[in-house]
Amino acid sequence: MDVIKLLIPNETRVSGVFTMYESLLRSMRCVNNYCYRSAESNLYEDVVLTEAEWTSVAETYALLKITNRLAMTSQIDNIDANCFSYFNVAKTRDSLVMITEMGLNVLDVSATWAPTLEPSLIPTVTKGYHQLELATQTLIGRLVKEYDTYFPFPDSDQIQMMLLHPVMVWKGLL
Amino acid sequence: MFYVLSILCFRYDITIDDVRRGVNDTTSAALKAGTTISGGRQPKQKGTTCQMHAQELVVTHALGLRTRKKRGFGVVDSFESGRLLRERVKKLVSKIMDKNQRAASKNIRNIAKELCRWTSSNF
Repeated sequence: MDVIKLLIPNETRVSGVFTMYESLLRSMRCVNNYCYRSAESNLYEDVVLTEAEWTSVAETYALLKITNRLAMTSQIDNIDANCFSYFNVAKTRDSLVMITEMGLNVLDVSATWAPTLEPSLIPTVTKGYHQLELATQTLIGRLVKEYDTYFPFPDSDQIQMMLLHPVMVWKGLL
Repeated sequence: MFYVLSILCFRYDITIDDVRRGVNDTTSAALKAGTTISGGRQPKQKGTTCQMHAQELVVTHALGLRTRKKRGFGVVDSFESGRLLRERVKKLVSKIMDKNQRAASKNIRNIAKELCRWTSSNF
């Protein structure tokens, strides 16, 4: 039987944080059962997460899933990825802003799933902006603010590449 | 390449000879031109770093793992609840997957097998 591992991120890997949250949520039931049921359960009293904390973890994971897409596309080495790099940034930022209207798909922590289930098949619930926890609402605002700080406008290289891309010119985007 | 050259020629009067001269040169401008045309490497953003590392800075600042300080004010953008949650998650994962806790990971695998059997029989 294929059983997943819990992964600890390296400091420099942006996707490492995302992977850690994902692997932990996949094995949520196993970890909880072990921490409460094991003979040495007193060892885990200080580290075991409460139900509210699991909800926070699921919401943070849902937000990191949006930002992780950009980290993945920015590592691709081809001309299309370079030309659309700023559009991907704008798309990520807008997806975060749209949560206030469209809501966020969060893993349903009250459900039970097998730890070998793929993350895309785990049951989710759609939560409105005001149903999210206060820390998550703050995190959305902080992420949008940081995107505005680090990617305020496309730099000269990105504009040059957008100018040279045939699709951009044909579609009249520039 | 044909489309790129036609656009360059049509809009900016840059011909194939200009491009060849640039690509075959070894100066930084020529390297930049070659990179732009071939699209082989992500250009670095001025003042900061490449897009992936800028993305890492965005995430770590937003989660409160990195902070900004202002003279006379101290830390100006702390996010304690986010930082504490991340630390608790990391502590839990580290404690279970620690090298000295091999029995823990083995027991978790056994529980996972039980859970797989239970979920497959119930759903």
